[in-house]
Amino acid sequence: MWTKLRRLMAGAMLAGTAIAAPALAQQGPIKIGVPLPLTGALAGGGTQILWGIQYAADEINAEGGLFGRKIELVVEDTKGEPNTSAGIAAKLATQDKVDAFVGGFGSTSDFALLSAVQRYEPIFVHPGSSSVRLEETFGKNDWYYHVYIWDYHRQKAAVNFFKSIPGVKTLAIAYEDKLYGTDGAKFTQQYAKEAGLEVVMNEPFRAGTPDFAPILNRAKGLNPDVLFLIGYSGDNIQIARQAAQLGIKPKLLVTQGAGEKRSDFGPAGDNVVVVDLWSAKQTTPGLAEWVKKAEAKRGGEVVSSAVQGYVAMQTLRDAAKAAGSWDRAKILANLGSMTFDTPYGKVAYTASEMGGKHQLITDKSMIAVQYKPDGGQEVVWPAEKAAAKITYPAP
Amino acid sequence: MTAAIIQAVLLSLTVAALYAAVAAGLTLTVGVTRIINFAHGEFVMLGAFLTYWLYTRFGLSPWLGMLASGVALGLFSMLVYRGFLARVLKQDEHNQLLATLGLSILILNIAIILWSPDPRVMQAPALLPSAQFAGVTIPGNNIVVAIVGLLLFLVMLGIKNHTRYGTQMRFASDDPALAMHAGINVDRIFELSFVIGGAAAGLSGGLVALVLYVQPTVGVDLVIRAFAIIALGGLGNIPGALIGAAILALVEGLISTFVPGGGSWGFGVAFLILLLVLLVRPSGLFGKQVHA
Repeated sequence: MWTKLRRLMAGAMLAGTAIAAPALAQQGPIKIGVPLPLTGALAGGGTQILWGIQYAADEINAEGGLFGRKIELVVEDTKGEPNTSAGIAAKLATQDKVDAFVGGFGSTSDFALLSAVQRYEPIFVHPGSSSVRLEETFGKNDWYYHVYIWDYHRQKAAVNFFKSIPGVKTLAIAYEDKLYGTDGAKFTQQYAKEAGLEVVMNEPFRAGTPDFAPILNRAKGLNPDVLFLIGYSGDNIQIARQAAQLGIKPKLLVTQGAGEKRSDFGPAGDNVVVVDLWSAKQTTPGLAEWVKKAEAKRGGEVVSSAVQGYVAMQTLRDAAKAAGSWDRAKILANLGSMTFDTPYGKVAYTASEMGGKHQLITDKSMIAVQYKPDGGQEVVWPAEKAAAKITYPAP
Repeated sequence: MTAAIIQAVLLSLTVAALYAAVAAGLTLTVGVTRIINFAHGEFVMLGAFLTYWLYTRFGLSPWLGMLASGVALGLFSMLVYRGFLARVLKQDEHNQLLATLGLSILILNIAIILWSPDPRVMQAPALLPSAQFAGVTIPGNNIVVAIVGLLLFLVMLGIKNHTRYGTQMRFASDDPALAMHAGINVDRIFELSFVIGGAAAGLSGGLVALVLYVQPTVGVDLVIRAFAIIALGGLGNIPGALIGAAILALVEGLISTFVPGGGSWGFGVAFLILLLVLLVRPSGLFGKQVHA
């Protein structure tokens, strides 16, 4: 009798332990792998994105986490290098066993990152990188969600912006010579041709070069209506600065936003236009309050790439919250079906033109910001988000 | 067209002066101690940051900022030399390479953690007025770079060829054991050349702050060019490095200016020339030929 009872009690204890084990395991943090370039040429954008991801994670943790579990970011520096990125992807998936990925910035290295990670089919929310090759290769996967625009979105928006300026007929393009710049230049040419704009120059440059005078002088000789730069932040600043020093005044210098700030340009930035995803000054409901809080936390200006990181983490958080538990299938389904209230406005992951199944931001979300000589900046395009008129040609 | 050529040549020469300034200290250090200092680019970066901070926080003129950066990096180099390089010098040369590479990565990563990788621009007024003639404009700060870069080279040359320490440096470099027997404190001479190299790096960092943007990775590309320049000119050959810098910058600048798409592959062509020169003259254009 006693033996039977002891066996029953032991069995009940074992069963109890078996039931409790997963529950206890679930009390651990939800691990999010964050692979980003934090050193090297892409580090400027990478650290901004990291700040945004961290800010969103801090918000969740301040509310007690998700389902009582804290969010733990496992941050790894890809250095923007393909080999390092591939190694990090494997480490995060197999050693750290992260529950999801929120990261990636820099098309070339992200190609390696996603190639390495795809065998594990994790929940992957990708805040950065715009090369359409990524969309074509990875965009069809159910587990892959992309926040940032694809090249053609940005280029489509840029060309639409050029078209909106009365009198603009010719365009000169200067682009950095890796995947980011070459794809950008290719799509800009395609859309410019469709829009009836003449591309009078299409010149590559090496990121980090100290002397942009050759490109600026060539553009000066051609006198285009718009000089469009597709480069990283340091190069964009350096080109604007050298143009001012050499007395070269394009009718309009337009850069593709890459994380640079108005203050970085100084007087050389006067009248420069940045085609970007987002501005703190755009007229989006609820944005002013979000910006106030975020800037207080940041201790300064919050730039567009930081918002990319924030929104990537925010959409994952909201999808998980709606799922009620960390259930991969439910979270993926929610990511694909929900509308998210973000600093960009109300947005949803939808199909994109070249095979992507889950794309959050498109050319329709984009804006153009002009830097004013008083050190400020204003949204000048599109009309429904604009707070000021564009100064064209620049004086 | 003529104005475009003159401008391209003159601007390339000012860029050459920047490259030469970065290479000046490196060629002295490598020529005397044979230490391949991969951290030289980070010394330049630290000089750039110091000049930048001194201007933005304390309003110190970039002229003085450059000098202060030179002194600070000279002192820092002394610490680095005494702290660990002096010990590594006595070991296998592969260890020296790894030690300076490690130092380079360490400084770079600390800089990124402390100051973030964001580019910063020193919004200082130009130190000299721009030169404008016949449709050509050379910005004032580029002229400063040309003058300071050239002066730096002359100082290096003066130290090496016309001072007692310079004679000892050459002696210690040619045959350290014999120099030691001759009563020269070889370790002290090596330290001195490393400190002078560091000071030159700090000063050229000030030039970087003047004409480029300041960020932790700014020295990486520059030091690659500096190594190419000293290989082209001949190891330890100071005038050779000056000519090497001019060749590299002119090839890069002229191709970028006059060949469509040249902005992308001008850098590669410059290094192709380096390879061809080294194939024909392994000791560089002005290096000592060593015969078996």
